[in-house]
Amino acid sequence: MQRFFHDELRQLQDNLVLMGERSIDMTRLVMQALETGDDKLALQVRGMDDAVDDLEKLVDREIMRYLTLFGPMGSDVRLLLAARDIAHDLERIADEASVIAKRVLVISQRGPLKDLLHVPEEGRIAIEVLRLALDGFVEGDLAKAKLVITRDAEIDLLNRKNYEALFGRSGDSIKVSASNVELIFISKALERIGDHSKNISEQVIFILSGEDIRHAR
Amino acid sequence: MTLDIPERQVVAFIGPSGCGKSTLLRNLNRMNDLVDGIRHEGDIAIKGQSIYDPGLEVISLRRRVGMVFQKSNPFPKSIYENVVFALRVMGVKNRATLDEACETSLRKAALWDEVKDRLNDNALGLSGGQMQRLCIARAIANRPEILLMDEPCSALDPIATGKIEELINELKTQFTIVIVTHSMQQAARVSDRTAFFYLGELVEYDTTEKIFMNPSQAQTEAYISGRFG
Repeated sequence: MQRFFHDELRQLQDNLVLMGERSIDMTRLVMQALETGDDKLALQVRGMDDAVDDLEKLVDREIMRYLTLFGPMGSDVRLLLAARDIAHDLERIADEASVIAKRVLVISQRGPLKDLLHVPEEGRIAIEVLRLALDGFVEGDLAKAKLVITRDAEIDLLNRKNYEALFGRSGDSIKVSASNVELIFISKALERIGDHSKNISEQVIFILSGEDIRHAR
Repeated sequence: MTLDIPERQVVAFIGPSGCGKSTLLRNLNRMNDLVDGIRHEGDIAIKGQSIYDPGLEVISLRRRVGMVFQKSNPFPKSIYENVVFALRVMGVKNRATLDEACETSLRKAALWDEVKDRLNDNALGLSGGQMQRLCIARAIANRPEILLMDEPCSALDPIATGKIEELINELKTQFTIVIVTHSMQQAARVSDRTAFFYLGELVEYDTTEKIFMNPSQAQTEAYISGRFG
């Protein structure tokens, strides 16, 4: 029997998906801003963060309301507990995208950077992995959730390569060196986005199977 | 105590046994008039008109304010006759009018599909949950504005309870509902506003979300979190 309050659970899931879509949009647009040197786009991404923050608060409120009023059990409890963590990870992803936008603007002030190292590729994979994590949640697909955990390693590797590419590098102007530092921070932010996608997938696995695989040793 | 009950909302009365919630509920259609030695102070008004207005007949008040009790109490008559009972008392004889009222009320009570082929069967042959929904159909056939429900699910299993709760959620689009329940979970699920009573006093009255998520009174917090007594 479908109860009237189950609609509220669906609404909550819809709001999480909306958060996810906004976070993906922000990450995609900020990478485009970096690669094309589009300051306007970077500023647009900076302005998108508040909406995600508001959605996180809304989702938290919906979770508290559902837990308090509708006596959830079983997979509904797992969904609500996981939803809180997922919302937080999505909010952090939006924050990372916003931080990247800030660094894109700093780089832009010093003039365009010709060599973006492996950062564009890292960004592309980070977006793919985030999409995979969100699809895993929406479709309740355990295989997709597990694939996210494997693919996160690809982002870690590219982040490492970006550091290594700058080791012992000489001949860059001070401006370029300073922008490379910003680029390394961007690489790190993308690596964090990968980590958040992985966290989301761990929560999806918890929702679907009840298994808690966080902090696996 | 003072409390406003908004139109077309569900208001729940909660509190420990003996707190006066059922007594207050029964005042709303003057059922307590039947109690020996009853007296009252203060006033209860429906759309501004006092229910103690000498010009208002108690029977017409009870037509406006229907009631469903803890224990379902169908008459030992057919399902059909139970639903149209009040209309017959009012003198309605037209068969088409009665048929329409019967079907409409049973549909609103989410019982039509289960009983449409056996309307002439004795109502006492229905299950507990069906009997309670029949009593709701009987109450709404009279087209009341307000429905009082005194522990309507306390004798029902979880599935029948779920059906009544769904029904309450449907009915609030057309009726104002006041429900007394011992189940805080039920009050939380079905009501828009909740009143918490203790020892005959109204301790707190607010939106159900506020009462169960962040009540203003320590006594309410203690009661809803099971730390009472």
